[in-house]
Amino acid sequence: MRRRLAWIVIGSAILILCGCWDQQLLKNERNVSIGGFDQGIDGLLRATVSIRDIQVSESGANDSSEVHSVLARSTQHARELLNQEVSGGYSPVKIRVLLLGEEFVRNHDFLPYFDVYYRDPKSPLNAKVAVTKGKAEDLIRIRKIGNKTIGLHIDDLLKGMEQTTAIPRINIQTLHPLDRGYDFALPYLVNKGGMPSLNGIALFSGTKMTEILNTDESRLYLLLSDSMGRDLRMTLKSKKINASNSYDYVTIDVKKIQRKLKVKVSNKQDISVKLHLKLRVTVVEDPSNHLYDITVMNNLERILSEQLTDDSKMIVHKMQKAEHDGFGIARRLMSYHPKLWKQLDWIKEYPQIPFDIRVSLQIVNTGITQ
Amino acid sequence: MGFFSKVFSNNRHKSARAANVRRTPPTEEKVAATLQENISYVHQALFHTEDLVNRSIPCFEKQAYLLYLNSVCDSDKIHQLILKPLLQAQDANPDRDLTAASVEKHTDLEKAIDLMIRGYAVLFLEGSEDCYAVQVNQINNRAVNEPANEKAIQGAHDGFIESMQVNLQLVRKQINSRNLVVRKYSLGKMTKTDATIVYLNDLANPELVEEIDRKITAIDADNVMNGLLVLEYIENQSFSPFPQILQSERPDRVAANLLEGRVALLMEGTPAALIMPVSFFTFYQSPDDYNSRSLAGSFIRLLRLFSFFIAIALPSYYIAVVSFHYEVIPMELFYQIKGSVEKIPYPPILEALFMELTIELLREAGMRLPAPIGQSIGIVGGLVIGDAVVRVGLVSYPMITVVALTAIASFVVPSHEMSYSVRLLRFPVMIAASLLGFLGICIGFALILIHLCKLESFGSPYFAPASPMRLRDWKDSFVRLPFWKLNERPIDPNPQQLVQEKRSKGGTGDDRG
Repeated sequence: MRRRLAWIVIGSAILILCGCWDQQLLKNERNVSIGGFDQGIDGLLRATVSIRDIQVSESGANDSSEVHSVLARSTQHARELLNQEVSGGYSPVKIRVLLLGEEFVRNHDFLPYFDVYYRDPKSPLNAKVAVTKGKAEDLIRIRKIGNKTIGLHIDDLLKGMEQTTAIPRINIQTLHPLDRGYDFALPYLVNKGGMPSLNGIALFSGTKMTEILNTDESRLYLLLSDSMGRDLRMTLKSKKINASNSYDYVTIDVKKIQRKLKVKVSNKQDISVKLHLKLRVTVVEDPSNHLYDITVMNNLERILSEQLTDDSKMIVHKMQKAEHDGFGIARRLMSYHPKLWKQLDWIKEYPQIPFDIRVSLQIVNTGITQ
Repeated sequence: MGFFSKVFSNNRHKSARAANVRRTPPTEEKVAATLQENISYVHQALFHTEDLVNRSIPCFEKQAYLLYLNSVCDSDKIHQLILKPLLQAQDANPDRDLTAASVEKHTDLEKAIDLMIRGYAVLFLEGSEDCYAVQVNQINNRAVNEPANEKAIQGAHDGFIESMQVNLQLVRKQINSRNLVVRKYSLGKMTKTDATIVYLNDLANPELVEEIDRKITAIDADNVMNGLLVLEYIENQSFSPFPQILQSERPDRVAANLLEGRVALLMEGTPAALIMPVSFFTFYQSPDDYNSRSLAGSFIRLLRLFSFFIAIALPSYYIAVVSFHYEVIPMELFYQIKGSVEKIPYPPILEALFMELTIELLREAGMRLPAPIGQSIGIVGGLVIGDAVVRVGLVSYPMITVVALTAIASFVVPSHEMSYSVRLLRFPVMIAASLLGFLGICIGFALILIHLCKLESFGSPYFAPASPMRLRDWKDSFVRLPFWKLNERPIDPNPQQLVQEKRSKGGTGDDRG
C-alpha cells in the first residue's frame, strides 16, 4: 500500500510539476519578420528588426509592423537588448529575410554575427539574405508597402526573383562557413523612392563584398554557374550594330542548359579553366519576325551566341578582378589537386587563371506564330 | 490507504452479509400421485404468486389440472395447443393429443416449476406420476430491422433482436453448415438467462472454445441479464482502453467472423452478438467494405484507419505546435494562427479541454433527448456555441476547426466501443503534448503501441497482423483486396483450416487467382 501511495505521489508530481518549463506559447511571442545588420559606431552592430503583428477579425486580417533598432555587441546581445524594448517574448524563429547594409559587408566580416543562427535549433535557416545599398535600417523603416509589411514584401520579391533566375538561391543555411571552396553572391536591393527594388547581385570574396553585377549580368552569371531557377528570360540585341529601336531586340527563354566546366592543371602546374555553355532557347519576343527563314534563324543564333560569349567573358573578368570565385574552382582544386592547393596562394592566383569561355545557343522554338 | 483498498477490493471474503446467505439448491421432488398435493406444492414453491392460474380440465375421466403463469403464457396458444385438442378428442390422451411442438414429460416437480417460469403450462393428472409441460410462452418480438448503430449502405439490412431464438436463426440462415455448433449455457444464479456460443466446429480452435467455455462457466453472479455484462466477465483486461470483444448487431458480420474461426456469444434479451477473439483491425472493418468493390472498400478502410490517428493525435499535435514548436508552421499559416490565438486568455491545453468537453456534452445531450429536440441541441451547440465562443474570445478559430475535425474522425469508427476508446485516449495524449510537446506525443503513442502489442484477446494477439507481423493478412486489414486474393484466413484466431479457397477466379482469360 505504502509503495502504491509513493507511486501515486510520484506520478502526480510528474504530471503537475514538470510542465511548462520549456513551453513557448505562440500567443505570447512577438515574431520578427525581417532583420537588418548595419555598421554601428565604435565597431558595434546596429541591428534593426520589424515585428509583424496580425489581427484576425471577421472582416479579415490586418497587418502591422513595429520597428526596433538597437546598438549591440553581437547578434545575441542585440536580441537581449531588443527583448528589453519589445512587449512579450522576442522570437527570431520566423525571420524571413536578413538584410545586410552595404557599408557593413564591404568593411566587415559578417559571418561571426551569423554564428547564433547555426547554434539554435529553432533558427530560421531558410531565411533569405540580401545586401542593401545604403543602410538596411532605412529599408526596414518603410514598414509597409500597400497592405504588406516590409518583411513579407521583400520575402515575396526575392522569391519571385529566384524563380526567374535573377538571383541565386541563398539562405542562411547555404552561407554556412563549413561549405568552403566557392564564393557566394547575394541579392542587391536598393531603395527606389521608398520602394525596395532588386538591382542585381552583390559578389563576395570570402566574407567581404567586392563587386556588384546588374540584373542582366547576374542572369548570365547564374547560367555560367549552372544554377538556373524555374525559368530565365533575357532580352538581347538581335543585330550587331547599336540597337536603335525595339525592332532590334529579341527576348529568349532558356529551356535547357548544358554546362561543361573543366579545371585543367598542366604539368607546369598552370591552372586553366574551360567553361562551355550550351543553351536551348525559345524565342518569345521577336518584333522583326523573320524567324520562319532558317538562314535568318541561324544568323540570329550566331549573333546571340557571340554576344553571350562576349558578355560572359566580361563577367568572368569582373569576377576575377573582384576575387570572387562563384563557380567553385577552388573546390575542384581542393578535391582533385590537393597537393597543388596546399602550395597555392589562391587570392593571388585566382585573378591570373585563364578562362576559355564559349557560349553556344540553339533556338528550338519560336512560339506559336509561324 | 484504507480508502483505496475499500474501493478496489472485491470484498468477497470480508463481507459478513455474503457469508450468511445460504442458498439451498432445489432438490428433486417427485410428482405426487394426488393432484391436490401437487397443486399445493406448486403454489407453495411459487409463494402463492397471484399470476399462477390453475384451470381444471373436464375432459378426462380422472381429474386434471392445468397450471401456468398467465403473465408469461399466451392464452391463444393454451387454447390452440392444449384445450382444443384435449376437449375435442373422444378419449383424451395427453401423450397423443397434445399437438404442441414442445411437450415434455416430467416426473420432477421442481423441474416443472422451473419450466413454468419460462412460459410452459403444466398439466397434472390425478393418479399419474407424470406431468406434461407444454411450451406456450408469449413471444413479443420486434421486427428484424436494420440496427440503428451499424447501418450499411449496401448489403443485408437485417439485424439481431432481443430474442436469442431469432438471432440464432438469423445466423443459421447465413451459414448452412452442419459444422455450425450451438452450445447452451444458463447464466446468473437468479436470472438464469439463456446464452449460447456459436462456432464452426471444423474451423474454431478447440482450445479457444474450451477457454471461452471455462470463462463463461466461471461466472458466479446472481445477475447476468445482459450480454454486455458477460463481456466484462470474460474479457482479458477490463482496464485496457481497447475493447477486446467485438459487439455486432449484424448477422452478416457475425457470420463472416465465424467463418474466420471466431466464436460468437448470443444471449437472450441482448440484440447483439459478442465476437471473440478479435484484433484491433476488426473494429475498423465494416460490412460496407465487403459489400462494395475492393478499391472503394480499401479506400474507405484506409480513411478509417487514418481517422484513428486524427482522432487521437490532431488536438495534441495542435497543442504541441502552438505551445512548443510554432516554428514548424509555414509562414503565412503561422501569422493567421497567431492572429487568432493572440487574444485567448489561457494556455492551449485548457482551450482544447474546454472545447472537447463541450463537444462530448453536446453529443451526450443530443443522444439522450428525443430526436426532434436532439436536433435543436445540435444546432444550438454547433452554431451558437461554436460561433459565440470565438467572438467572446474563449476559443480560437483554429482550435474550433481542430476539435470539429477530431469529433468527426472519432465518429467514423464502425464500432461504437472503439469510438469510445479513441475518444478517451486522446485526453491523456493531449495532456502529454501540453507538458512535453512533440516528445510528449511520441511518449503517448509509444505507450499506446506498447499496450496494443502486449494486449491479447483470448490468447490471440490483439494487434495482429501488424504485430506479430504477417504481411499476408494485411490484404484484409489495412486494405481489402478482391475476394479471390484472400486465399487464407487471418491467422490471429488460429483457425483449424487456414486455406479458405484455392483458385476461385475461373475462366480462360484471367485465372491468376
